Amino acid sequence: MRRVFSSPLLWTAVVFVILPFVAGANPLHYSGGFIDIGTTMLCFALFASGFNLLFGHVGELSFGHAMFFAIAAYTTALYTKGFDLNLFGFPYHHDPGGNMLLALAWSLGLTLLWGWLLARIIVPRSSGIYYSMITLAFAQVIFFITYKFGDFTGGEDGLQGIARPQLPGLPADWLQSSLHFYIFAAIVTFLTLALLYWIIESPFGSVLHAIRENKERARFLGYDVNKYRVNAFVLSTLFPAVGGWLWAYYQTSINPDAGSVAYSGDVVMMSLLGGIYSFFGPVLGAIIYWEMQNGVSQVTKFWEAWIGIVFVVFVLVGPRGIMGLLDDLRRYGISQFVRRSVSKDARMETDLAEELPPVVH
Amino acid sequence: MLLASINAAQILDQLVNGVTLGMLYILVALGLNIILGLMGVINFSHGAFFMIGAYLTYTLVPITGFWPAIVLAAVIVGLFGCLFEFALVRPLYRRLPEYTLLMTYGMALVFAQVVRRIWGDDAVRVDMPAALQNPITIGGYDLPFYKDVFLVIVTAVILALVWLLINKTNIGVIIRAGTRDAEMVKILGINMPAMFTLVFGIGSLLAGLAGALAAPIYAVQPNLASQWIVLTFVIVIVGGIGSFWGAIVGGLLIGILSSMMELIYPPAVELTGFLIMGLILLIRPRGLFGVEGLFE
Amino acid sequence: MAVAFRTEGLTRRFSGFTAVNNVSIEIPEGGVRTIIGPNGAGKTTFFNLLSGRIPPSAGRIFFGDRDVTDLLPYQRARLGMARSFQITNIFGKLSVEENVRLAVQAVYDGKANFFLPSSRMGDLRTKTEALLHDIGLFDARAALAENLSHGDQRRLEIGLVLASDPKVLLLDEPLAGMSPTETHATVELIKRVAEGRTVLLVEHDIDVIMSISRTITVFQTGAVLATGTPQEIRGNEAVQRAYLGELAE
Repeated sequence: MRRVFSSPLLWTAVVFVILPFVAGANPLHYSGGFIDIGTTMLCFALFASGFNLLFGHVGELSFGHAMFFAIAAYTTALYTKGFDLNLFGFPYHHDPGGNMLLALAWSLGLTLLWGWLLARIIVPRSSGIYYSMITLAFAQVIFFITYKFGDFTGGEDGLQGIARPQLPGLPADWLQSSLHFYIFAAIVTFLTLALLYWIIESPFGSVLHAIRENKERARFLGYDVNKYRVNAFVLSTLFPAVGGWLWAYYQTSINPDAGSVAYSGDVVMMSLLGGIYSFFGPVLGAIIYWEMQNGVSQVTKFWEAWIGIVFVVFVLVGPRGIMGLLDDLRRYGISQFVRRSVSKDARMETDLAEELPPVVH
Repeated sequence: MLLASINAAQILDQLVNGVTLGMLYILVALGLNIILGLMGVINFSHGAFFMIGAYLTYTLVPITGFWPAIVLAAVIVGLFGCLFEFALVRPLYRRLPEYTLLMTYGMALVFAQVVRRIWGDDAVRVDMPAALQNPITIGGYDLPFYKDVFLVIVTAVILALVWLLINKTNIGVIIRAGTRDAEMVKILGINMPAMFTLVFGIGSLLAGLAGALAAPIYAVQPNLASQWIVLTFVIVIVGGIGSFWGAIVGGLLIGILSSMMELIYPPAVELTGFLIMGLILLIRPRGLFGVEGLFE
Repeated sequence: MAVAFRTEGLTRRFSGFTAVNNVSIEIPEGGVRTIIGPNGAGKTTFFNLLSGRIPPSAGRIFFGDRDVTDLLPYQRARLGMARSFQITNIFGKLSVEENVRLAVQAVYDGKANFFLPSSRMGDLRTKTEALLHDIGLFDARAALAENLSHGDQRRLEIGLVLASDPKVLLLDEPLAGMSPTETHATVELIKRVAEGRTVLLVEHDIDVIMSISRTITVFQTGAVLATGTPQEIRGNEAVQRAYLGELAE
């Protein structure tokens, strides 16, 4: 239990508390403007962290993780608003539902189901970029379903008017306030990320790292590698699911963007930005990404190009991201850090001299 | 269900439609497959190259006339592909191929915005030359000439040329040998990096060419790249990574079946390719003509 | 005498080239058996077949009295077979300790569920530390595996193999690239390890082979040329012809 409260989670908690005060543009104005971004950052922190379980910790790039975000978001929306379904002549009616836990249960259930199905099909049959291509393609299936089956999903416009839930013991419209919703979201996100932290630090997590480093050797040690890959995939869907559930209530409307290639790509970027080998990396990346997007989109309508450029830079520079940079700073001190960045020899020297474990916190 | 109301003419229509669509798919998929199969890297910007080919055609037609525009557009895209490989893809060869996928994804975002900046948000039209506009009559059916006949013929010719290039020329032999054993080829004095640049350029040229040819019959707008790229992936998966015949069969299969779906259940048209892909994954994960173990 | 391995007509072809050709041998339990042969004789391929890294083109493989021909590497590992690699195959970016711990943890993997209960954790730690001491890498345990010297990496390689307390070890050129001191230390380690187990060894160092092996099997062009004690092999004319000068010592 003590381990749970060691640095990375503490960092996360602290950041979540500070976030509403610094997110967005002007720290002097305490209005709805920032916290809006704050909640967005939380949803995507979850989303990116789930994705990164696969990318940073197993070494597999799932390029369609937005589908899980979307499934949860749409499930929550449909559950909350109620719907009529006509499946091959059999009508089904669902009344609007107010129980957010039930919405969560349904969201998690459907997401896990789809995730499990895909894992069984994809994982044993592919790896590397083939795996990435296939996950991308399956995500497009979900995207098209949300886009095309308009009677059910609202099509291009999506679904609006999702009612925020009522928290027990609190007034019915308590969550209407952005600040209140942020607090709620922050607590949920923190608890969910704590679960992720536990998973990563557990023996299960170690095996994932082994698979990332040397899949074959892991096999020869006696590990059923494919079983771990499947399990990791299924687990990784939980976090975007919670994120999607929060997102639906937060936005009070959702559209096919939730499952778009753009969102799938965005979380990759967030993870790379923050650092894929660290727990806090994707969270940090989500925060920075939305800051950037918020800022740049106010300046130019071609902001996506700038995002793309930043993405390319971080791909070229390396996956350790900002957390990796910070760790290097901590390890080598500022002067060494500058030396290393500039001279390749300096880097070799220090690598040989220091034999420290990698940053996987 | 609409099955009851379909007649032979409709089926034939969709069939022809499907073949045409298929031919374009083949060209794009072939370009990607060449790069993927010979170099083991994915170019997510491949769709963007397709799009740029279309846009360049739009800009060049008033200047040079229709045919030169198409050729020029393709060549420019090919050269641009070489530059792209040299500057951005090459540094990533030592890294996992996922990083090339990601870098090209980021660049695709950039290209889409550059296109918007230069040509605006609205769709642009490319007019085909008058000579090709009149429908042609074959066997009692009227077919739009450009779309259904000309395109098919031109694509077939291009495919034949590519096949000859890969299988019958010295360059083709070198490329195929180099991908199997880069060290050996280097020892023989052949410049592998230059070969890779060339291969990337050829693949990109095919994408640009496909875009140029598609320009008169498609709405040319900034979303073109993202619309085509995922579908291209699906074709490659279905046909088999790196396979010449896989691209052909995959492209035709998906083109024709998607068109047929229009008659059966229109909302599922875009999903057809994915359904086929899902089936292939279950039955034959390497793809119809894929090589076993390449990425499994 | 119990049998560690038995093969029946084991064959492996690679597009037009037969690396292992219809090999039917019995390898009894206990002691060190070294497999020698000129380059390309099929030794590593034979290892790969036994450990399940590649499937055979024909024939069957028995581990003890169990047919393992269709089993995957991880399944064979769980039966008590452990294999080390010619080219060091460790978890580079993980620490030495993590490398060893993962190897030890694998033993629990087949029976345990998702997360290990804390009682097992203590057990894991004890075993890991003991193993680190055994291979002489306890002091270097925090170092990144890829930063170790070559000799240390080879010892880590052996450590990984020992972790599951296997009945049979397949060691593929464990001494490759080691200095004389490192070689000596590793040979002692192998001798110690071989007690109560079976060790199948591929090596080239003649002195080592002669001193450490109970039996030697000579491979040539994918088939077994001769099997016998070191003395018998030394005096074997066919082997001498095959090596012409390599066994001059």
